[in-house]
Amino acid sequence: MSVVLLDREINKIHVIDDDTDSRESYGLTVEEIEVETVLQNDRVDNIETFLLTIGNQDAVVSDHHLKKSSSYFPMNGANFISKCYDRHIPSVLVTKYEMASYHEIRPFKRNIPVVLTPEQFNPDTLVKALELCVAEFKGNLSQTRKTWKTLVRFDDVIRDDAGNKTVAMAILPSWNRNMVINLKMLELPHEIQEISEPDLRLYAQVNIDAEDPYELYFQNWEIIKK
Amino acid sequence: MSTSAFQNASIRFSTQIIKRLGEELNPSIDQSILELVKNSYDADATTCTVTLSNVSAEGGTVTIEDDGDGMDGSAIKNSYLVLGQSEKSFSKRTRLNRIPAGSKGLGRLAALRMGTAVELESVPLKVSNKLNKTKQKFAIKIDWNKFDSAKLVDDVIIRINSSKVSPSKSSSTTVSIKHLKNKVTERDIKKVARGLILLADPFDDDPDAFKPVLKAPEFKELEKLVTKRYFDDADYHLSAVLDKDGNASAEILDYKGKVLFKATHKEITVKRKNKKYNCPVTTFDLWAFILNSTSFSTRSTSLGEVKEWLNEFGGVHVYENGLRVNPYGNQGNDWLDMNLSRARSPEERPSTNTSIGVTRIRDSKGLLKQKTDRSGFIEDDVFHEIKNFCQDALEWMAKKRLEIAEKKRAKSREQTASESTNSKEKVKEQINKLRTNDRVQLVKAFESYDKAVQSQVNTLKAEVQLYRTLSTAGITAATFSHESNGNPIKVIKLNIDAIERRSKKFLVGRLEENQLSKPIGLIRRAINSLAVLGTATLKLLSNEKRRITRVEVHDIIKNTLETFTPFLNGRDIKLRTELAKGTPYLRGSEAALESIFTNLLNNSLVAIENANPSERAMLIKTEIQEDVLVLTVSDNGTGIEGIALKDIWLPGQTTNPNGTGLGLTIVRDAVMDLGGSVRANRHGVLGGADLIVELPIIGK
Repeated sequence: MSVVLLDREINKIHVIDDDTDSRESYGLTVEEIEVETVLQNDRVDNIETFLLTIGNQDAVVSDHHLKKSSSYFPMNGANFISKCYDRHIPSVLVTKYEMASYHEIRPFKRNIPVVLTPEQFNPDTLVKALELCVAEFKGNLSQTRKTWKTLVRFDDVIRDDAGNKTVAMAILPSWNRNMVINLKMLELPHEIQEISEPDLRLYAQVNIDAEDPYELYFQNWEIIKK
Repeated sequence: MSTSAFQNASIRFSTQIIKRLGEELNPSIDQSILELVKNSYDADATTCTVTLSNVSAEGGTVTIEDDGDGMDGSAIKNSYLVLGQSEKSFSKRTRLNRIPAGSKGLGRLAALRMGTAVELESVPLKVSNKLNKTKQKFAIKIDWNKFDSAKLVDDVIIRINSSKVSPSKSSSTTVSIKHLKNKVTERDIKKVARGLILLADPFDDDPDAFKPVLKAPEFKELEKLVTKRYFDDADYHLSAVLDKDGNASAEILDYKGKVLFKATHKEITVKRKNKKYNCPVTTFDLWAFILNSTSFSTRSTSLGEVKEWLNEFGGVHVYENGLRVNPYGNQGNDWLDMNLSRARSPEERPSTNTSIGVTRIRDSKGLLKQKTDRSGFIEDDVFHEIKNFCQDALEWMAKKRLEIAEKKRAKSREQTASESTNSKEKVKEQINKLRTNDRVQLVKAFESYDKAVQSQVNTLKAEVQLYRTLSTAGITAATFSHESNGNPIKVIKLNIDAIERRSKKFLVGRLEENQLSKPIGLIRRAINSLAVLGTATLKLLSNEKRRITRVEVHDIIKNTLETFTPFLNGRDIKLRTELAKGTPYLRGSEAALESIFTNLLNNSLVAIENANPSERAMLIKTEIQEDVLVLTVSDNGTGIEGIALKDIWLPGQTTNPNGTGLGLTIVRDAVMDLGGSVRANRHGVLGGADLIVELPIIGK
């Protein structure tokens, strides 16, 4: 049992979700593309060791929130999928894009070609998503994933009660001058956090051909010298 | 067939291995220098000086000099120049009883490869000849270019030279890395300075501790800052200890060092049901600061200097056997998820910006393993236990601080009540001093005033109780929404999809298509409705929406209508929207605007249901009149009957038997907070009521 994605053969898909029923439900869908389905039922302590168990002809499907049982997995799904991408393991993140988890996913988005919602998750979308990963490993990024040097303006910087900066409200004129992207301070490099203030202008590499704000990711921040 | 020995062979290494190992393991200059400084620590040095010369361009030199035990020729040959093997063992102690910090020597290789050449000179502690007490200095030079041109590592010969030195010459080692391949930026120098200062626990205040020094102005500035030690300005000091048997204890001290609370293992480990921690002896100290001008108004230190200090050194640093482990406590590193916990429950919790902490681990058995690239510990069970211990202690502190806050709130409530009674008594006393005629008049007037105040207080109390009840209902709804919107709905959706796909695949010809497609369709519709209910509740509760910021009114209207569409469709209500041109915006919170609009919509939904017209209609309209946005919600419901127009905004006024009578009060309060006004028409453009909100805008 295997499936060939471009010229890469996949014969096993690991399914990671901290909820047993969800895990099994994803597994039922994976089964339909006729590859071996491996449900990750045991707790994972060490990511590096766990990654060693994923072979060259394996792929991964993971939920983002993995902390219902606090000891199931040591990191969130986005972080894990990103590590898989680094090792050229085709992988798909499945999650509802909620505002609360949006900022957790964005820092890893460069390494996450596809995020599927549970509604979108079916054998066809899964195969397509994995194919996209393989294509990216070969250096073929789709137009919506390519980044360009882009001006980013902080419209406002929000502080909490203790005066700590928490969110920069960013506007990317070359993407959509009317839409504000809320960037949590923790998503930004330390030197950018330090100088964040309303009306600050910066450059960053951003995939501005993406239509959906959830698809945007930011790299290589540059301070514009006055 | 007989075999005979042809030749002996061994596995040899290409010089490329040196290049790969060195450069890929530890590329940053601060970590590379720290590796060499750790060698000085292991050699029992008390001083270690790092000098950077001509490093602003490529080709500079890094020199590390220490007064440690030094090495003789044999140690250089059999230890220093051997990679992947370490003389350091956790069972051994150094002469000064230090637990060695270095490991396989790979970090040292990375450091030495920063330049194209290395010069090492070392005078050992031991005399070379016990009889005549002569002492020798040993030196080597490594030219990495030779490795680059040689084929195998063994092909490059490194000569160990020796020369006599005075017997009184103290032991020492000097390593110079020459012709640096990269320039060192000011930011790098600051990182090196910070790394060196923090390396040997400057928070411990031990005058005899190992204190490496960098010869650079940045170092002096930072050193000054670290020695300022604003621990006494902390409002709370958490001190937690984990003993060798895995039992935890903790106390919270106030700024005077007075113990406020003490906890036993049982209290700290409520979540893990009293289970012992399985990790080495650890202490965890955290100093939490309340950084506001009021709390600093009576202190000698300024809020600014404490903030600067915390900005540079804040976070929880980890020291293993006296030496710092990178990257815990670095700027941006939040290994205890303190900021996340604070975001979830902000009251009385420290963040990495408002606290400083030290976790000291005495790992005499080497249970913790550092990653080869020096990016922290391998996150195994031992590490997780230490993390759990620190997080459990933090959790206990948060609980205790919340108790203090609660007590303060209760006291303040009591105080207000007693202040009010005292004031009343004082007024009565003054009245009694007046002449009889005036007194009677005034007593009457005061009694009537007091009655009115009491009635107002009672109304407010009832209103607060209503808000509390609604909040509880809201919290419960949110909890259920969150749970059902997560896994159960997801599981139903995934499985109904699987049933549909499989039935199409496996039941072809056996069943009429609509025998399954109809029930599947109905289940899907029901799931979608459920999901909408959950999403609508959760969307209202997002804490991001409570921030004061620029809010685009039309966006809020559109988003709320999108959420309400299934409700409106389910009730056959035809909705028309006429939004003014442009993007009017104001400064406020999304939550406030959502409250206004959602309550107006709910109000119309109820009015339409009560009137039950044959064609149900609703109109949402906005107009911009100079700097004011006028929002009108009209419907063909019952209109406003049997109540004064101004009274519809009062709490408790409702024509709906199941209503709370609070919806329009919330609208009024939220609009007033935004500087606007509200009004209504009994019967407006669609026959039912028009509810009109006017909001000042700052842009269109």
